[in-house]
Amino acid sequence: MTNTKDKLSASVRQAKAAQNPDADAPAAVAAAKPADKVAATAAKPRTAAPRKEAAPKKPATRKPADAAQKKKASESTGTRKASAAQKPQPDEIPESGSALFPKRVWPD
Amino acid sequence: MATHVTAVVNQKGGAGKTTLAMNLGAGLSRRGDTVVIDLDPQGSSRQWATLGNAPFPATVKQMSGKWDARSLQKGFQAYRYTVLDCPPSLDSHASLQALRACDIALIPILPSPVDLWASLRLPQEIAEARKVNPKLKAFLVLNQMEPRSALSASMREALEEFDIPVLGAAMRRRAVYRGAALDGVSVYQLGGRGAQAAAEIEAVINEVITP
Ligand SMILES: Nc1ncnc2c1ncn2[C@@H]1O[C@H](COP(=O)(O)OP(=O)(O)OP(=O)(O)O)[C@@H](O)[C@H]1O
Ligand SMILES: [Mg+2]
Repeated sequence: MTNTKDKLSASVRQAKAAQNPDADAPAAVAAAKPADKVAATAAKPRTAAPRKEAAPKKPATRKPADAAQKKKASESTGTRKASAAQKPQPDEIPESGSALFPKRVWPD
Repeated sequence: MATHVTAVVNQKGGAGKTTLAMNLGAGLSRRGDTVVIDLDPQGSSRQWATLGNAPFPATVKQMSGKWDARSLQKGFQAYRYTVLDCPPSLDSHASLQALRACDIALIPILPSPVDLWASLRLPQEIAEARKVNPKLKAFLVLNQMEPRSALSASMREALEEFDIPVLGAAMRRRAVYRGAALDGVSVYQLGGRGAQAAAEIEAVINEVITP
């Protein structure tokens, strides 16, 4: 547990240092040239990537009719019935324990 | 009277912005007229609101045409509360204007290192937004917490590295949050099944929106 805490906090500090190489993070900045290079390139996509903006990526639930609806920028009317709603669901999703990369992070 | 604006932001996808925004909308609608504005082209909150048998407790709208922070505040001043569901990007017009328009920014964050790293730019963005919106207050909200997981337990300490305070209230990982979206309702409408989740949302509201 303490190990996880320390590792997580250290990883955040390291990521922070990689983000602003001129800030107060001597350990990361003082690293040899190749490491610096890695940090610099790693920081780039974070600021540049305009994620998911253009293409809505949830086509499974979105029918063509949706696009037309969207244009109207209308209020929701809440009329459709959700058919799968009846299934009883446990309130809590089983926990994935204390492993760093548990098998069941995404159950269902 | 001006509408009280809460923006739910994080450039990381899947952090729980829509889940938090919609349930906040429902919780706030018990206190006064509330509108949830779906600022994400994915349209998830709008989709969510169309699925229920009954109208969603808060009005859910999308923005169209040209708009900015000022027109947003003006356009929804009839509502006591406005909740903004932002897209997973801080560079977008929507997120920038949302941060300028809001009283409070809530930033849901998952107990995972990758999500932490991806959110590191947030304090800068908040500081930037404060230059034009000095009243802006920002808080991290832990989401999908698993009390017995080492990572979840490590989150609060790790978040001390951020310059943004963490709310005491947090959301646990619960199937009802997903089920509510499927039913087109909020956790408040799920009776006993949603009671614990609703209590979590109430705790968020009471801690920062209507303290
Ligand atoms: N506390 C929770 N317990 C269980 N599932 C959750 C919880 N919060 C969110 N989820 C699920 O996680 C997924 C992502 O949540 P959500 O869509 O709210 O994130 P988002 O930040 O709005 O995503 P995007 O960046 O794509 O807009 C959804 O499937 C949602 O149902
Ligand atoms: Mg969303």
